[in-house]
Amino acid sequence: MMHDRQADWTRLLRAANAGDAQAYKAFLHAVTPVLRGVVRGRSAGLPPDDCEDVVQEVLLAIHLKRHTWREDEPAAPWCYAIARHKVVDAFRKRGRRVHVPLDDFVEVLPAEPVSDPTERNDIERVIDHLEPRAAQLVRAIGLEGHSIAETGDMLNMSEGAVRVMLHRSLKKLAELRERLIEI
Amino acid sequence: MKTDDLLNMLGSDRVAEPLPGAVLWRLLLPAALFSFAAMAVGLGVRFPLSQTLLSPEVLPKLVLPLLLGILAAPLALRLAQPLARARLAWLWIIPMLGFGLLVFAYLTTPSQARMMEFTGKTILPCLVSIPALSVPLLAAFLVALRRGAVMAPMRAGLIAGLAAGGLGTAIYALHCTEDSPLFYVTWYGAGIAITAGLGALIGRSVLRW
Repeated sequence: MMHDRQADWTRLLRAANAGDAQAYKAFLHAVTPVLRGVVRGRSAGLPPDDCEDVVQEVLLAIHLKRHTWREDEPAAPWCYAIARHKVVDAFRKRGRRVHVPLDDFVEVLPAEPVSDPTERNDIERVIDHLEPRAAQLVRAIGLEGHSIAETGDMLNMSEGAVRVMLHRSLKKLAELRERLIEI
Repeated sequence: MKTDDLLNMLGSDRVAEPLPGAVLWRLLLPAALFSFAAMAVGLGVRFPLSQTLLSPEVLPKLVLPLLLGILAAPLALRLAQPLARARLAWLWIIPMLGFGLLVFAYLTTPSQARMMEFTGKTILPCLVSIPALSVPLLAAFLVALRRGAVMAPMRAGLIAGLAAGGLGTAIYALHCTEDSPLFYVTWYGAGIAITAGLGALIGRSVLRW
């Protein structure tokens, strides 16, 4: 089964790099339950909701660092390395020191969200610190689920401009989280 | 924001970041030109280079640091890739060559001249200029590494400092008139060490993500 995961993630991420957006979403959806299992398992007493904040933070990091994976490498170990680094960092910011062996990722039972509305606040608090237009754009795409094209129409921007601003905003979100998150 | 919503948003972002290597190439050349210009204007190129720098005892003061830069630069870049193996042990070649040169110079220099050649006349300018000329290069390395995913910020900063220090020292060697290995192995080495320490110190905070 573990071998399957390795092969699947690598295949999905390769397809994603080749421009297949569906494959990329499938990759993210495959990574999330594994990551959630690891974070819960090492939560050091952090409530499940806060754990979900950590999961989101790590997913954002995986997304923004995806260019550091090379196609001739297996995707799963790369993903574990990024995730472990970020999980330790996220817990450190919340005043907890955790040790996350890489084996956690291999052996963990993938976990589903606890309560159904896994509404998390951390990221929304951080969105408020973006500049107004960027915040509007992130809310439209992230919270209201609008497509790039719809968002462009709403904000009177070209699709290309929306794409660039979305990417910059995600980078900015990761940076802001690094500075703003307290327990 | 629900995690599923976040995933959808991440999935619609198709802009990929440039690789650290590409960023480094774009920044390193202007940084090196800047340092070279600062050396040429502020300190002056030693003239004529061809007659002085090319003698076998003097050439290593240019070649060794340059080699260090060329060896350390790709290693620093590898430290920004989670799965890449960086064989840092290769770097020991340079200090070992330097040490060999130092021993050779010690044995071939008459004992009464050793101390004079060791201290030279420009220890302080050397120790100040090397880190100063290396700083623009170090900045290029750190900016590039920030685009990657550095797992060990201090170590990556240190290796970046070695690379920048090596290249900066090669630039300084075009000015410096101290030709005894007793001087340049020691004090160039110290200048590079200062730069590497600086890289580790700055890297510890700026390479965190």
